[in-house]
Amino acid sequence: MKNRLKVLRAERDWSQQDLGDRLGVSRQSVNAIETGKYDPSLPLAFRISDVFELPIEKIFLRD
Amino acid sequence: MSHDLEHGASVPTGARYALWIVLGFLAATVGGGFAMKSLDLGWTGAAIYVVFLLAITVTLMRWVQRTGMQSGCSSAAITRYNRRMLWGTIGYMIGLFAAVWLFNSGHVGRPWLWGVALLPTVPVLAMVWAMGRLLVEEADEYIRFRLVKQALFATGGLLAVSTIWGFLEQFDLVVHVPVWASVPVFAVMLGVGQCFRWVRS
Repeated sequence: MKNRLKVLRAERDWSQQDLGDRLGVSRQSVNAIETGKYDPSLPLAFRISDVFELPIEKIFLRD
Repeated sequence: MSHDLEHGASVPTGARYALWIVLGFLAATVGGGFAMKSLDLGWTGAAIYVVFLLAITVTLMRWVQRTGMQSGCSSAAITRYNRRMLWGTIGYMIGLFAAVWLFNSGHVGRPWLWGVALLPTVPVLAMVWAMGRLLVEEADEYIRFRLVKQALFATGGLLAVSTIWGFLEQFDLVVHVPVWASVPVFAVMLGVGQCFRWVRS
């Protein structure tokens, strides 16, 4: 699933590891979500939404 | 070690380094085993070989742990898993050496032989338990997803290899392979799956 994770992360000058630490997941997980290799579960999607203070629909884009 | 961690698009150069490490480990273990057999160094030589295997196993697993932590691919659950597998491996090598030595000594009565024969199995079962615990304890959902995929691939590979070899053996086309070889075959299939993942990434 396409998403704006990388853009949002860059706006805040966060590395993948930084975002991973905030979400409680590994850098690898952040990378997999950003590149569309993995779609997060609902709980993780909500945590992403909380971290960026944006609704999920503004972060993840319908195909 | 240079690789594009942020984008993850290119194959990391660490993967080639890792491949040489694994091939070196296999050469040391398998090659060393053949050398031990042909040179016939006796029990002292076998004990030295076991200590050598333990030393390179510990070195390899500590390298795996460090690499995982440096590339952000490790977790507390994986660290615990590596530690449990390391102790399991050590226990297996010692248990196997002890079992073979006791069996060959000829001094073990038949009732006690059951316990001797099962000596190497306890650490192996502990390693299987450790694999299961990893799936339960891993909190990172993507890492857990990958671990499950790897386990499914390894299980499928084991089923395929054992079925093919079993029928070839049935028709006397290949040598008999003992059933306990299923665990090393499973481990090899885990490694093959990992190699596929590296190549595809």
